[in-house]
Amino acid sequence: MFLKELTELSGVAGCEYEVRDYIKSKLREIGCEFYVDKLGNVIAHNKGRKNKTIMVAAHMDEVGLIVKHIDSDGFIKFDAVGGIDQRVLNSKAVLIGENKIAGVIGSKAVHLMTQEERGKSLPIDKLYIDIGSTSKEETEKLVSVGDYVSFKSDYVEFGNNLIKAKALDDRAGCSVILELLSMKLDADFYGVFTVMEEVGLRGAVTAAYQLEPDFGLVLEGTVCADMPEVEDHNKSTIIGKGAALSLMDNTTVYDIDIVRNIAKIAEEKNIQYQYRTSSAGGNDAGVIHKSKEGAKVMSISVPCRYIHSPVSVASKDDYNNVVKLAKEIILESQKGE
Amino acid sequence: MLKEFLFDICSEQFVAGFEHLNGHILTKYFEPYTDSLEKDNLGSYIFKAKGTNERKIMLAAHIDEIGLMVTKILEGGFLSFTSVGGINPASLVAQEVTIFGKENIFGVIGIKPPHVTSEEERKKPLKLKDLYIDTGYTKEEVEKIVKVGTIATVKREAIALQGSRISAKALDDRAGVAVMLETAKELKKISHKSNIYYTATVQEETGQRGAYASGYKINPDIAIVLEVGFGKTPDMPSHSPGLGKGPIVSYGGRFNPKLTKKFVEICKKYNYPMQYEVVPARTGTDAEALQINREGVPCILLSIPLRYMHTSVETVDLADIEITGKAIARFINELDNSDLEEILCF
Repeated sequence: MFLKELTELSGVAGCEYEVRDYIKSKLREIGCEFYVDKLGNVIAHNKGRKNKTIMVAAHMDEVGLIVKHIDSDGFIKFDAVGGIDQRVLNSKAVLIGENKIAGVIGSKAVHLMTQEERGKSLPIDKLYIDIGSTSKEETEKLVSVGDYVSFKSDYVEFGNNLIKAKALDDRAGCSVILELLSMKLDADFYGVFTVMEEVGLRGAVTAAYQLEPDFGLVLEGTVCADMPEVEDHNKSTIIGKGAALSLMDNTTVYDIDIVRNIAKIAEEKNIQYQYRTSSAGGNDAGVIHKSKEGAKVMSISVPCRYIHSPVSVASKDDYNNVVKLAKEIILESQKGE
Repeated sequence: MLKEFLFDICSEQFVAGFEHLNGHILTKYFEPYTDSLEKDNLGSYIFKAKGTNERKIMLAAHIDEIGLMVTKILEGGFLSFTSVGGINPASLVAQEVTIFGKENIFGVIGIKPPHVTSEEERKKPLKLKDLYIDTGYTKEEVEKIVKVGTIATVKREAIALQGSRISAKALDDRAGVAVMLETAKELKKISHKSNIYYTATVQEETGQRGAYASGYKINPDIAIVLEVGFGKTPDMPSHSPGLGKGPIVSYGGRFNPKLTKKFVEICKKYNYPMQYEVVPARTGTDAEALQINREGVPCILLSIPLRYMHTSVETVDLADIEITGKAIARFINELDNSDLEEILCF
């Protein structure tokens, strides 16, 4: 499992350098052939018995912020990169740019708020980052417009085999692919680490174009709403209940025969799985299945509570079930007739 | 040293009502500069530095902080909670917490994802009852560690920002406690005639309770209250006191005007920067309790400018703390050589 290292790297969509460099170095260690395409996707090839072209994809990028203005007192205004719920930004520590300048997003003192203001979240436009600078000039020496900002959140293990980290969506998938590549399976597949998923599934478009897959398997961190006051049918996934099989989301309707077949594989191999019962959200499968003449796709995910926040929570058991199931799917697909 | 002290003490919990658990950190830092430690019946820490005359000067900064208290253990190992002191629920979303149960355990306060939250619901102000601590355990497991009444705080490591600025939880009012430590260091060097009582008071955040008992016990001639004040941010008026510009001196009915004037004179004489604020009535500080202690105690209030009060990213400039600590030492030194009664006489 490479999750600690992967989640502690910064890789806001459009700025995946740290994650890419880490993955490249791991691929060299594993001894796996790879190249980086024009957009920055890392495409690794595990050679083996081949029946069809399989593309296993996970995205390297994460949601975050980008610097858009430095004000006259040296405070930093920013925009969101990807889907960030403004409610998660209050009172957070962040790291800015390549030099990881420490900053905080504060909030007006509760004492100075009107009754109506208390408890309300502020739109991103009203928030700013404070790096402790005393002037515009001092900030400009350290930070530039266009710098990417990521949450400061370390990897913590807690509770029943759970982990807390930022960017579990989708370093979880990246870590699974690295594990699959380490296994040196006698089954041919491409392990693809895509860029810019969070800002419109950009990287997967060109990766799929190059690989022309017959089957795309997308590995994700996905929404999990199994918290108090959420009705069972709205939970989407439940933590600790296994690998989540997608049926339908905003970008893809999954081939039901493939879904059922994968469920069957899971049952035969005693791998815990569940269905992802929300149709909200989308992922790289949405562009892979529309590539060229079309491809079959499937998404298997690790449920993540508080996804897209600095404190995403996932289960190591679910993660391991995704690894096992992805491995079996690849082996099964390349078994031949 | 100052930074080390604050990084050290801000990472520990002193939630109002639970200040007795980590007193050893205070002792470690104050012992080298003081002669004795006493606690009053409510638990405030009184470090005394003996003088050579009968005069008693009390410095007061509260050691307690705002926190969370578990009210219910729910299915799935989630915890409902209330606040100890004033907290904006919006500042708790997506925070890590430490729960001080039978053992310390980690938790996070999450929020329902957007797909199950209507646009309308997202715009509504959050209340504490809308939030839960996720412990990652089952209800049965967590019940063995946590009980109703267990406290928790946001988990936040102190952060060094640019220059001499730092960000941490509980700088309200550990910044004030740090001022006392600076003064203690200075006075150890230049010596003093008055008896000095460095008092880390309890339960300020829940209504300035501790200062009543410690003030009564010490029975000081004067008191210097050390607090944090609202430091200027983009959403505040342009005349607000700023970080790095020295202590905020308060004017208003809770403070002795002549003693305040004397402090200002001395700062000017020795070129210590200062800022001012007016607080005509209620201050929400230990001065509330100390001013009306016994027959009355002349008080002054000095505040360290602080941004984002009562969040986990409270931000101060260490230079303000240092300046304030030194200015107070100089002030005490001058008082030692003056007729205090004459200064205080109306």
